[in-house]
Order: sequence, then structure tokens, then C-alpha cells
Amino acid sequence: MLTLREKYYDFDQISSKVFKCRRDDQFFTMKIVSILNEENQANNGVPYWIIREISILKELDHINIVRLIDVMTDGPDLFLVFEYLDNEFQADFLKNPKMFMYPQMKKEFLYQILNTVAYLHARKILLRDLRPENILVNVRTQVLKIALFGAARTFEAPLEAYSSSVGCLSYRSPEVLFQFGCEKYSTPNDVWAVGCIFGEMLLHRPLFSGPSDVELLDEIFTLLGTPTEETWPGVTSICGTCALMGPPQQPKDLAKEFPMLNPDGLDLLSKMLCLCPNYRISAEDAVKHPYFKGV
Amino acid sequence: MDDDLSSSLLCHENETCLKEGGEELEYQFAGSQHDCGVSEDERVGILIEREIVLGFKRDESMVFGDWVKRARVEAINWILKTRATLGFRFETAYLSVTYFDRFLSRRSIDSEKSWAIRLLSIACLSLAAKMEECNVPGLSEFKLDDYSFEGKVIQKMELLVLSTLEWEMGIITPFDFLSYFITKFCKESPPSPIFYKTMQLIFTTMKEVNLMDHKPSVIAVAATLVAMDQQLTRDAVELKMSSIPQHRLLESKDVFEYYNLIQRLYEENTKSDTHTPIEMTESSRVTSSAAMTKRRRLTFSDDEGSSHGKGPPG
Repeated sequence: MLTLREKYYDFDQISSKVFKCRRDDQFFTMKIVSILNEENQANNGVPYWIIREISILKELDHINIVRLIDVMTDGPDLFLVFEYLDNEFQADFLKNPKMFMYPQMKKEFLYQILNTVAYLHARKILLRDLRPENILVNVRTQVLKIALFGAARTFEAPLEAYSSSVGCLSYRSPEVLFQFGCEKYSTPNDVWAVGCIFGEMLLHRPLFSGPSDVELLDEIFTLLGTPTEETWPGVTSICGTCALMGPPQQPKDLAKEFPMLNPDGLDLLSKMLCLCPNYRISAEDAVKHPYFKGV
Repeated sequence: MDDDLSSSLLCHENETCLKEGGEELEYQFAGSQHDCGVSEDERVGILIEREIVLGFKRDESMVFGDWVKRARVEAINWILKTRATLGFRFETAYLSVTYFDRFLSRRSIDSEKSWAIRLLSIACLSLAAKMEECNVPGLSEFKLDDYSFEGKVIQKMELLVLSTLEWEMGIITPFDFLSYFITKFCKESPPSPIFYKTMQLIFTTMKEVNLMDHKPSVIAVAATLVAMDQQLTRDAVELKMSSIPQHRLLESKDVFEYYNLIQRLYEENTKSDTHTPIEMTESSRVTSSAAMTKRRRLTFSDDEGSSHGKGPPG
């Protein structure tokens, strides 16, 4: 079996744990993950989350997902070899000023995100940490890529493994913020995150940005209204006396908040940001929404 | 189908384990549907296509030799016993045997290195637990009667298994299909008893066949059909299968062959009227011996097996 240095060469450091490397005139991105030097590691073996993450990545083949090509071990480290994305691919895609030049481009990128999420959900994989920082775009070719490592989970994996602290706060769904229990973390949470990204694309700022769970929920309810038994069956029995609910608020008119959106766009956004996870649109249905006609 | 069919295929210990886990199995069956906007038919289609990529197919040049077959049965017995001790799900035990077979389809182990087979069984069960379980015990919890391995040695074996299997640990098993096939086939009868019997049949035949030789979907269909009816002809099997929207992706010949294998095991066990674990049978897939020419050889330096207690010969 070839060693790391025999297989890959011309290492060029991008960041502390990320390198650009070459093999047979092809470039790759290599990410280093330490696995064997963690405290108590010898007694637990290879960390479970690394095994799950890599095995998920190994089975994915989608144009909008940064592809894992190879996994190698060398001493206490794992070397994950990903497809190389050239300089035209910019990370944290919403910080790219060119992103907002053409309305159609936003729609195209939103479609690609939803299409990827639908692909993952069909394979029983949850994203759990979808946020702009993990999304790279090539504005010239209009291709978007999601970097998955460190975020994905199969939803056939143990439920207790789904921590309610997953994901960047701004993109967390109300049911996760309510901490309804680990078992509630499922596909609608990813759709909520896409809805937040959609809103951010339109407003050029995070849709919700509260620094804590309570403040974030308050922001959500300020825009979408406080949930009731009608809008979210079971919410009062779980959180009826909960301080997180705050004083009752009426939903705002999304047409006024997002004047740049046509009726189809408003309909899709409202369905993705539906407070009740059971009523929230699925990614599979979202990609078929009339808003994407012509994409 | 008689209740004694499934029980006759299991030793008493395993049967008890399965019965103790009955409620758990029923719960998992009931909760196995996930609403992700994709129909169950589509989901199963995706899984069947993935089976092909994962390489579940018969390879005549990859037949386990007699020594490996014996060691494999011992390993499976240890895995099932440890599953019960540590409270793992049945799926975890099955997945670990799939890893075990997949590994041995790619690497060979010398017959004098019985310690390596033991180490492999620990690594496979540990890895399966890390994929499937909520609470994964420390490596020291995986105990053998005759060997003692240090954590760092087990970890090294885990890494060898991971690299040999190319980190493709999300391997499909028959359990990914059970709720779907049982629901399709059992329109009139309540599914839980059938589910329980099918589970038993899958675990029984596991000892007899190299799991890499048969597609998990084929095993799931065949076991479900035997659990429902022992008297099906080839035509009847094909007719039953035609009720599945994805039936074109399944080879009816393979299903009927596996159906017959389960039947034969049942007959042999009822003839001998015993509840002991199944002996290897002549026509079983893993019985004919052949050189494992395509596989890479597994070599450990002598000091890698253990550092205390009994270990590989020094």
C-alpha cells in the first residue's frame, strides 16, 4: 500500500490543517484530522464521529458536494483528500459581493442548495450545520459546493448522538432552540436553515442573529409570530409556561419585509420558515416549487 | 408458518435473546419510517442501486477455507454473546459480521494466527457499535476468554479494518429493507410477528453464508417470504415479488435460491430435532474450500497482538 508521501506530493499549506497537494497532474485539498492523540483515545479507539462522518462522505456523489476522494492514515493523523476547488470558488458565499448582482443567480444558488439537501435527505443524511461559511460558489460558472465534513449525520444513527447544540445559532430551528429533545432533530431542521440562508441572500444580512437561544427565539417570533396550538400542535403542552415563548406576537407581513420577492418566492420562504416542523415543506417538495420555474 | 421453524434454527441462547428484544424490535419497526419527502419505493430503489456499488455479489474465487469457516463461526458466536452482554442492537451484531466478511474477502489471515481473527472480531464489533449505538463502551469492555488485547492494539486493528473497507462503513444490511418488504407482503396480517421471525431467520443463516455473497435486499426478501410461507414455488416467489414496485431491481433467481437455503436449514434442524447452533452444511456457499489468491495477507509483527495476558505467540 502506498504511503501518503508516495501517493501525494507538492504540498502547499493553505491553513494550519489544510494543504493543497498533487497527484498525477491533478490537484487535491488535504485536511488533517488528529485522531490518536486525544485524551483517553487509546481506550476508545477511533472516534465514532469521525467514522460516521467519513463513511457518509464516501457514499456521496453529487456535483454540489465537495467530494471526498481518499482517506489515509499516518501516525496519529488522518488525511482526508478532497476534490480541489480553485480560487474561483469563494468560501462563505454570502460575503461575495458579486452574489447580489443578478437576482436570477440567487435563485439558481438557492435551487442548488435545496437540491443537495433533498439528495442527502433521500439517503437519510442530515446536514445539521448548514450555514453560509460551509458553502462555496464559483460565480463565473454558477456552481455551488457544500463542504460537509464535521456536520453531517445519518438519521438512522443513534438519536442521542444528535446534540441540541449542533449548528451555528443563527440557522437553528425553533424546535432545536426549544430543546424539544434530541429525537426531534430531523430533516425539517435543515430546511429551516436553508430558509434562513434564503432570507439572508435577500436582505444581505443574517435573518436572525440573536446572541442566545432566548433572544434568537424572540427574533423568530417577532417576524413569524408566537406559535399557538393552531400553528404548531403540541407546542403549548411542551413549552406552555416556558419563558422562551415570551409575550404573544403577531406574524409580520412577509411581503413588506421582503418586497423584492414575487408571490411564489414569498410562498416558498414562508413554507421553509414554517414554525411547526411537521408542517414545514420538505426539501424534495421545495425543489419542485413554482418559484424555480425556468431554473 | 410454524413457530418452531424460526426457533429450530437457533440455539436456545440466541432465541431467548431475540425474544427479550422483541419489544425493542417492534418499536424500531414501527419507527422506521422517516418523512423526508421521498417515497419508500424511491428510498428502496436508491438502496438497491447502492448494494451493487458496495460489491455484494458471489465471487467463486473468494471462498473461505475450512479453517476460516470454523474461526468465523466462533467469531459470530462471540459477537452474539457480546451483543447481549453489552446490550447492543441486533443490527449492530449483523453489521459487525458484514464488516468481518468484507475484510476477509479482501485480506487473508494465516491459520496459525487465531489471535488475529479474535482481534478482527473485536474491531468489527467495536466499529459497528460506533456506527449504530448510542452509548459505545470503551475497548476494554470487549472481552475474550482466551486473549487480552491492549486498547492501542485494537485501535490499530480498527484502522486496518477501516482502510481495508475503504472507510465505507455505512454498509447496507437486510434490516434497511425489512419494514418495506414486510409491509408490502403482509397486507392482511399484523407485521410484528413476521418481523420477529424474519429477524431470527436472517441471524440463523448468517452463520452459514459469506454475507458479501448475497445482496442484503435478497436476504431480506427471502427471509420475509420464508417467515410467511414455507411452501412457495419459484413461480409463487416471483408472483409475490411482482407486488414490489422495485422488483425489477431484484433477481428472482437469487431470491428463490436464498429462500431454499433457509428452507434446507429448517429441514436439517427439524430432522436432527436439536436446538444447537447450525453446523456447516455441504451445499452452503462457504463450504467449498479454495485458495484466497486475490486477497492481501494480513501480517502483524508478533509484539502487536497483546502486551498482557495471553496474546499471539511470541
